[in-house]
Amino acid sequence: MRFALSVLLVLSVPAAAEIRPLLQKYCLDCHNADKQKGDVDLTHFGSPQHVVKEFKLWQTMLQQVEEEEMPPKKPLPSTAEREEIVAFLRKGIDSVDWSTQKGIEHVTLPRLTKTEYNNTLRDLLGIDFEPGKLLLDDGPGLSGFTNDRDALFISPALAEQLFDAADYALQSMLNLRLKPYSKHFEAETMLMTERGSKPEELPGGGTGYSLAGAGQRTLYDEVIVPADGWYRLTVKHVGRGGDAGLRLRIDNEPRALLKCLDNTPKEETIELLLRAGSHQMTWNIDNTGLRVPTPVPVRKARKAAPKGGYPVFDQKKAAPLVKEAAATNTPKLPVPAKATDEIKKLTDSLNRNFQNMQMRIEYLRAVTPEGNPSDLRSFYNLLPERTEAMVAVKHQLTKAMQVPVSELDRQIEAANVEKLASNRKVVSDSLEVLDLPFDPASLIGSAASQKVVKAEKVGAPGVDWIRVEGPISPAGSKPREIFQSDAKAALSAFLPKAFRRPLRAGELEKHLALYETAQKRGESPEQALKLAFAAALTSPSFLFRDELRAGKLDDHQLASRLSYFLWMSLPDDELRTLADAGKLHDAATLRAQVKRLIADPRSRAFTSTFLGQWLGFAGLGTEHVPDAKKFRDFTPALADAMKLEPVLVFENLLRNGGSLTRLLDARETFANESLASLYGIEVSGEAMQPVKFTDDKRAGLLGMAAVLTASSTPNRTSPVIRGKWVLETLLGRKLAEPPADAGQLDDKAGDRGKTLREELAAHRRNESCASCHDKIDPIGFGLENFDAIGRFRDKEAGKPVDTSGTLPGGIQINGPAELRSAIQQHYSDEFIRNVTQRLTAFALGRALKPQDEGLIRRLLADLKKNDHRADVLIESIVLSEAFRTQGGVN
Amino acid sequence: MTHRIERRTLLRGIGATLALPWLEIMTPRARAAQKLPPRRFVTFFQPNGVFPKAWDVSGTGRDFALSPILEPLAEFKNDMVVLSGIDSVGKGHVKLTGAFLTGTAIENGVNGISVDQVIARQIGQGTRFASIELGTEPPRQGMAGDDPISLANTVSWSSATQRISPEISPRAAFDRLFRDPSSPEARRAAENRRSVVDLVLEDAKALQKIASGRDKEKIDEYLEGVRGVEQQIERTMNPPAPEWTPLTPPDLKRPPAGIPMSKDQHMKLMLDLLVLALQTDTTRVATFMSAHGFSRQNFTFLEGVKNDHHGMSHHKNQEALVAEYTTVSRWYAQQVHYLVSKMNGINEGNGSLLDNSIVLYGSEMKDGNGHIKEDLPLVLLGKGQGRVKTGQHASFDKGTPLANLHLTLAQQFGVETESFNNVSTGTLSGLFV
Repeated sequence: MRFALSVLLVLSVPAAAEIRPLLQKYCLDCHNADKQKGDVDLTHFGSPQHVVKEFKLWQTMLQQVEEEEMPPKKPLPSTAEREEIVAFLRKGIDSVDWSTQKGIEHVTLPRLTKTEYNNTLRDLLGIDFEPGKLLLDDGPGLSGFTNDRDALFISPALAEQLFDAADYALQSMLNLRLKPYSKHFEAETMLMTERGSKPEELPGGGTGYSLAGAGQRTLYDEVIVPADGWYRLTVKHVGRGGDAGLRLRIDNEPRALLKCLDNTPKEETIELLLRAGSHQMTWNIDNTGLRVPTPVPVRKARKAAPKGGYPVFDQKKAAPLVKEAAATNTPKLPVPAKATDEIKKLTDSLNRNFQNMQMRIEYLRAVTPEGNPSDLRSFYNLLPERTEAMVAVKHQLTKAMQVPVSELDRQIEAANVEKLASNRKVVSDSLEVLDLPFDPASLIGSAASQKVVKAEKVGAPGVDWIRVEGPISPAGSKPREIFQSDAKAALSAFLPKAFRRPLRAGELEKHLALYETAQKRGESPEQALKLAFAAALTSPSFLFRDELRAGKLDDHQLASRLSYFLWMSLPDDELRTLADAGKLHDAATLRAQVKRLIADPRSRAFTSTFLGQWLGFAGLGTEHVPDAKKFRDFTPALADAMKLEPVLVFENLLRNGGSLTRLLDARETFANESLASLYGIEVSGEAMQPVKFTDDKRAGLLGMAAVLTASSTPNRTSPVIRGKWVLETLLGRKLAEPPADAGQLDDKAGDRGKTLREELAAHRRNESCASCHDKIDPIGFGLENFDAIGRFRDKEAGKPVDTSGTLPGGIQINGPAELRSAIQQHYSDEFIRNVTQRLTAFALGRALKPQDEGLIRRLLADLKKNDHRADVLIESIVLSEAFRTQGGVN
Repeated sequence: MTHRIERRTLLRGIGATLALPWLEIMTPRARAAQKLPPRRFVTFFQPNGVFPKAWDVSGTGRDFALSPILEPLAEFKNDMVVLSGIDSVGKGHVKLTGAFLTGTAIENGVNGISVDQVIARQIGQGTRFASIELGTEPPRQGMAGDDPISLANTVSWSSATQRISPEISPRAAFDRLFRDPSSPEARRAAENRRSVVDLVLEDAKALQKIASGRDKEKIDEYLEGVRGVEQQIERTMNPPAPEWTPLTPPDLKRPPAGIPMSKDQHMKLMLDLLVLALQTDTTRVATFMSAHGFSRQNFTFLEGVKNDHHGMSHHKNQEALVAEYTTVSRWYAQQVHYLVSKMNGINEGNGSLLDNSIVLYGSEMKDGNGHIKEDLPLVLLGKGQGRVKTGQHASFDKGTPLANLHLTLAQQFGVETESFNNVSTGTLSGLFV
């Protein structure tokens, strides 16, 4: 009703007729009732009475006509005509009295999200038993966030999980009262699958198993814990040098990685959440993710790539020719005179290695130094292990023949002068292309040759013993005494917290009755109380936030809106006390509470969920995992650091009154050792620390690995995805869906000797593709200096990266720094509006509607007055009528 | 609403009188009430391949002679089909193990669904477990080429990305499989949950009165969900009658806690549980990982064996290693013999449990030396209720895709499909009546 009224409150109405001739001339050929190109029909467009209803269309038209994106082809309007259209659209939008548009909508009952459920139980119980993990995932709603109320429903499967999760969390609380269980495992009494499986003396005393050798030894046993809960696992281990680690798996999940870098025995403690019953506990050596990632050697190519890219090497076709060539070109050690059987056998073995090596050399010869360096590298990489194998055979042979290696080498050289000279030329030419040193002796097995990527040195961790104890309260937790012996007192304390409001008549009695009948059935007082709690935790009063009635929210409802917005959890004692006293809705109090909630570590749930889902990096390391072969540096720990970086930057702005524009340009950020190493700067330690870049190429969100990785495919960068990311995610524009028959570049694009730009250029030759991709791709090209996990590069496929491009409106850029400054200069307002809209949608738990424009304009005005301070935006949202009011059901 | 409450009150009454302990349900009923016993599908996976010359049988068709490795199964020669000419895909232990029941090679952790799971969806819906997966070795860390070794601890994949890890603890497997779903404790828990449900339903109805529009729908969804929980409670209080019960009561002995140190003993315990689960119709599909697909199991407990299984599988044709390799392969064949003898000893009226089953036994590769994926060592045992033409060596054209065997088996168990993981090229002929 309110909405219908406001439509009539249009101030001065420009007449639709003013614009008809221009629309007819430039727009209606495509956007008519028949064609409806891009799903747009402008036949009846232009009536300012419909601005609110058609608000998105008015906005899009304004932006596209202003930036000369529409009309896309001749006839084009003159500058004056264009200005006339723009002026009309502006006037139309401004003719609405937005001040009457409050953005007060009825929002449906929100069910707690998986994260909110988990955090709420954590804060109610004082321990995080991760009950949220037992629930199905929530899908994002129209707002793009998983806290979108319309999308939060209860399926039959989820209902059952909710009953199980409540029972599990409450029983885990009770389990803390059990007599602690403790079990000690001496490594030598555990099971060991593999070869050489004998217990040994470990450095520094103690007997146990060493998990070295082939790196495949598995030490394992069954652990049977009596009850659900947290357990403390202590392991005594010792390293043997090298970058070695111990990987603990419980059942099928990796649960811990311990560093064992020196030979001082250590006792280390891990806290583990375990369900009651049997678990497989396995220990293996694991050195991944321990060392600081080393940049993978840049693919060097001395010679510039030929025009049109490298020739494609067809290995299948080459195979028979290679085999034939190898048969004639293989060097051989002639079987020495009067050879014993052993010598004959060893000579055979050596010659087999020569033959094997020759195949690789023939492949190198077939690729030729003019071929693709990546082919050369992959064939060359197969040589070192042959060299190593030959070294070993020759060692045995010299013993059997009783001659020094030099004599053996002399015999090999003498018998194969031409063959070896030819082989050496092939290999040294290839290595020159790869810019690597060549050792001629490596081809006769007398010197170690190196792989392009060096194998990592592995130590040998030893395990002495393991102890498992529990259930315990994990470090940092403060278990609440909810199981008081006075059931009435216990329920009187628990229920209003769980329901986030004062109890209604009869509620306490009903739960007490449940407690009493359970005891009559023979349950213990504790179990009976658990059931009464479980009833509370599965009640709609707990699972839903009750905002059924329209009108101003009461203080308790407001407290929940506030705490679920900024903590994604229930109101704490302070909020509850303020609400009880009826003081929370006071503006000054609300402001103070916003500050307090933001300063509290619980706000991490908000910052990481909001940014992760808005910017699209939430799934890094889980749903989005870069190809392990190409990106060896990408580990789960690095993924965590990547995801934390933007969160810390945002929190820093929130807590220190920073400007939202800093998200675009700040050189100050946070990194730990592994992330810093990815960025080519120095930081030590696993903790994220403040750092500052000395130039602009990595400034702001566009330089962050989380963003750069999330906007790439697992195999390569994608200027298309990155361009789309900037336009849609960063600036909030909506691009048209690609047609169903639009092609897609495959994963090998960029690896065929052509740069991605060249491949995409071919794609854009198709005119229907070009109309959109001309807008999208050039933005992505500006970021081509960053690879698919955000490492800086200046070459791709052996050629310098071309990072030049054009932004909408004809703005020329070259490289990430210029892209950033262009966005800041020309699109800063658009970015601020987008952040504001996204944050408002998150806070309200719903997608925005045209009638929210008034609210957005007020928020933007507040921001403008306050230097775009991030904390001011949150305060303004919380103080807005929309946040504090529930609309009527329409 | 009233109707629902009446129904529940009624069920409560029935629940109280039908409190049958589980073993009682398991006792034989009148033969007349029994239908035909169910058909079962069992997989026995053996890792690391075999020495081809010691595996290959001579002669084809019905006229064939067993090889040294298969000789321990001589007693069942007329119950088996030796398959040859079938090729797997991929390379190395992880990919080949992954392909054993899927016929496709793992790429970036993505495989296909495995045939045991496909069959389980078809024939396993009426039993407590659609399928069971038992084994003897845990997953482990590390990479083999591009693939995590941990992927090779199973051959069962319930989807292209979801693998099912086998249970290796005899006690844990027993407790999971034979836990009485209507035990006094379970019934007590159900009774308790019912009291919780009653209370929350009251709350929901109160809210429903003041809600409208989409809010009302949400509360309706909640009520619908809670109704599902009630049905769960009903099933515990009043369990549905099993479709099949064994003719003679099974010997249900809970194994001791812990994993036996002796491989022999561990294997037998797990196989006993597997047979018990089939016999009691707890499941109709069982997959046994006799060891990890990249097993470095120490076999020094066998006479004349000094190396671990993976080590000896790269025998380089050295006589001593080949001899060890074959000794271990024969040991695995003896385990298969233990399994099928046990199945054969269980009378199900129309024949033995083995007669009502198809057992697939084989390895992910032919020769471990070179990771040869052509002409996999594969054997079918059991007549699958008179359908399998046993007592033959079925030799197929070279290069027959493994997925064709999967497709053929799936179809035999009633799965209506013309393709398996999109890689099969047809079915195998001559195997079934």
